[in-house]
Amino acid sequence: MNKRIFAALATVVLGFGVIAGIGTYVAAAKNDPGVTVAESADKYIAPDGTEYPQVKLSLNVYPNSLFGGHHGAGGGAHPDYVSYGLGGPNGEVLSDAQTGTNFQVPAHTAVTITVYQYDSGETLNNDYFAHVRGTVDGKATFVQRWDTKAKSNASTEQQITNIPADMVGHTFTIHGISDKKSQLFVSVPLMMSNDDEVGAAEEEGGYTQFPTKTTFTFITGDEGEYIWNCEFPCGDGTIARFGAAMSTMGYMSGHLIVKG
Amino acid sequence: MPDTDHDYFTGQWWKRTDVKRHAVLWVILTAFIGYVGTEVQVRAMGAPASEVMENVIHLMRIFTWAASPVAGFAAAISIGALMGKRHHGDNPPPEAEHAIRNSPRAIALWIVVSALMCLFALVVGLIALQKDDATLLDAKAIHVNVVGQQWAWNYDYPGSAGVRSNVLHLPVDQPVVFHVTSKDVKHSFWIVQMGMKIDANPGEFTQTAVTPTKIGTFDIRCAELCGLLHAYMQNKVIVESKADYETWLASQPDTGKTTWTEEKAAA
Repeated sequence: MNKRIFAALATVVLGFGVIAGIGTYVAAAKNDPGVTVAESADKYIAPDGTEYPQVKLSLNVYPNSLFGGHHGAGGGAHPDYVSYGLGGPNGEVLSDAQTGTNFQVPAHTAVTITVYQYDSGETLNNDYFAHVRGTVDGKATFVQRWDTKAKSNASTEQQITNIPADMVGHTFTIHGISDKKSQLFVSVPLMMSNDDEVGAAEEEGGYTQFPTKTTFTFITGDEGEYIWNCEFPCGDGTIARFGAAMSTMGYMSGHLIVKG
Repeated sequence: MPDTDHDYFTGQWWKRTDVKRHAVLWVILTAFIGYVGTEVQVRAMGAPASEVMENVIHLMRIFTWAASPVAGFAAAISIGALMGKRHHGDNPPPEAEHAIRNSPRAIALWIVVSALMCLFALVVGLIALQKDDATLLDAKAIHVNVVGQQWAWNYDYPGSAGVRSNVLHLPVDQPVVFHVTSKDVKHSFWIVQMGMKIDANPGEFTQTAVTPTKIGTFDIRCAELCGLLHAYMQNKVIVESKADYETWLASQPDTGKTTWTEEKAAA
């Protein structure tokens, strides 16, 4: 009888061990490290005159993961994957950033995000995502050529509500969720950078000097956890080009935590 | 213990103690499974927001009650066997060739009852489907195009000025026909409280219809495992009065308008 009890206990312990091992492996493999808390900024006054506290985030989108950042030196496990990453205030490459695609912002606050887009692009599979949606006034501020060396606009800054569907590099799309929490759907198309310049810079092991720059602001509601991802099919050839980088957290997707 | 060399159903078999005990257990378990199965399922389904969902809930009650005698019978036999026929210790008896296994009457009864229940489920199900499909042909129906892609839904409203939305808006008590497709892999468009679900296939349009009967906000989910963020492929449907729906449609921006030109950027 003692032998049976021991065998039963050993089986239970082994079962827990196997489950814990799988959990640990999945947690380590999900490539989704840390959370970036957005920095506070001056108050934001919306077009209707309402005043909000404001936080800011600066992000870069790269044609590969060689920038390092949250993927680690050399780009980590998938240096060829396209990837979002934290950027400097003028689009600088932050190769030592420890966090990447998970962001925390306060509730009932204006969140202003600037994205420097270093990748080329193609045509969206759904032109719905060529339009700016869910931002203040339904608009974004766009610069087609941002000079990262001069740290200034190399082309005219303009307000946009959409861009051509065949010139999209990536999108930043926060998904609404279906529960009693505030609906938060924000989608902003990020125009492609010049193809030739992106290719030439990649051959030299770097990134184009002239990424596109898109800035937009949205207002958060109640606390909640949302996910965001790119809606441009920019993974590899599998799963309708939503495989690889598109199907691995930490590259073209992450969490947006509305808290505090 | 019946004689294994003879048919189990000989003589006054229904007076045997083990038959009576199993019959009582069967009745109790049937009532329990029927009641709990129905109530738990129906509560979990939430309040219906369409006639389709009312039909689904009604059908669920009928099917659960129809199936509960079968489940109750299997449970009664299992419990009876575990409690009364269990052997303890060494030297187990040889596996008996139970007479019921070779009883033509028992086999015939099982086949006939099973066939009748399948026929019942088929007929009642087809009647319910027929009611749902009738809305597809309703001339008063409005039409909505539904596009799924990893991992979002969006909607456009034919007949409007190019209105497209992430949250679905519908007028109450108005039949709606959905034309559903996918831009990448297979999804399934599911309006939970309206009991309506249909596959979204790449390169194809599937049609389904529903008439919302309740004003409110309800859930839309993807019901086909479709990749990394499948669990988040969800949004809402707002059902409002006809007047509010028209006001919403009119308030939407002209989404076909272009605000960026290459010339402007180059200036």
